[in-house]
Amino acid sequence: MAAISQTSGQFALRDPDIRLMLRVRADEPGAFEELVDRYQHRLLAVMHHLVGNAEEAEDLAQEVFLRVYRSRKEYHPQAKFSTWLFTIANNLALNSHRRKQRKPSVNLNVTDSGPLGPRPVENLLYDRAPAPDKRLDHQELAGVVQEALTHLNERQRMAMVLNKFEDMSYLEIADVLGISTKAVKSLLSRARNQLRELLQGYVEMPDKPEHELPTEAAPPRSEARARRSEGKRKQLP
Amino acid sequence: MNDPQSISAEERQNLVAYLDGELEEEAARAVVAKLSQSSAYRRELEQLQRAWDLLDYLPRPQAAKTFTQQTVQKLQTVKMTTLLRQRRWRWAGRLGWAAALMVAGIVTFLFVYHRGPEQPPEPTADDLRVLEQRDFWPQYRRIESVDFLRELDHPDLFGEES
Repeated sequence: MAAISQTSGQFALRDPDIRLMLRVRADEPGAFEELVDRYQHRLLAVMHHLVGNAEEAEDLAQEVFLRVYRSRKEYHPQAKFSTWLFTIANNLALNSHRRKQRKPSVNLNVTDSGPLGPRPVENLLYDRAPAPDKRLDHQELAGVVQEALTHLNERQRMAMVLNKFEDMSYLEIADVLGISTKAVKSLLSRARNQLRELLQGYVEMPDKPEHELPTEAAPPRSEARARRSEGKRKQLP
Repeated sequence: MNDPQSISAEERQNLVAYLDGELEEEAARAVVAKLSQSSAYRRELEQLQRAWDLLDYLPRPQAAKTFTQQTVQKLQTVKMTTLLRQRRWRWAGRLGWAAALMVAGIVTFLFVYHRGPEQPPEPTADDLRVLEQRDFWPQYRRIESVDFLRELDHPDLFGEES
């Protein structure tokens, strides 16, 4: 919460993205192009994980940038620029999802339709053997994980994607989704548990020896997150 | 080792937050203690972590080299469309005003035309008394204007010549 209460000037000084967005707000030539250049890959990746379709992800990412441009005059730096950007992205993805629900497309894939056979996610659930690393190559496993992601609800998926790929803290995710950090904690817990259940056949491994299990307060985590939360953990014995 | 039958929702929330480095010091210590005591708890943590690691298999698509250019072009198109729409609305507004003025003129003309000549005001009680006293009633019935009768009554008009 302390980050949010800081003045916009301090944010602008610290965050080069905020400075860039302020240049976009001031209609400085070339600033918008620079912003798109800087964020295109990150935004596209997030949108792709959310919608699972490259073409739709690209359209949505473009729409997010257009909305950023349209809203530039209302932009006031209050938090990290990426939080604002992904809030817009989240709203657009939700709207797109709602539109798709209102106009559902017909799936002609016979393995996915009808009550005669299990759906792909059911295949995931029932398929516990043999060991996945021997059976699936990288691309196939990517497909399985992508399919599992589609079975999370929109909020769970967004929270997971931001947490995993944008390395956002619970506070930042809370800002993007417009919920409390406590709700984010619960949301991510349910999402990760559901993902674990969906990918049960791929997470079941032989038990590790006792000495390899985590026995200290430093949990396994990405480098960036480990650095960020170092402050909290280093105080532990 | 006394393992629980299942992990509660709150315990799982703390495990996930612990993995994410989001737990407060006290709660993190409690998780570490529990991990050292319960194999079910450790197993839960491992599985959650493995499922999380599987997300690394997801493709990391890169935007096409033309993405920025396409986005800027799309922006120009949107700007142009907005401008055209604004101009259209501006013209529509002007036409609307012109049409409204024209209709107002027509309505005014029709109102005045169909209303005919202005009706004389009704004589007041004083006027009636005067009309009766001077026996002007027959004239008034024909003329229906007290003012006109008064003008006729002016000595300069029909007064006796001296």
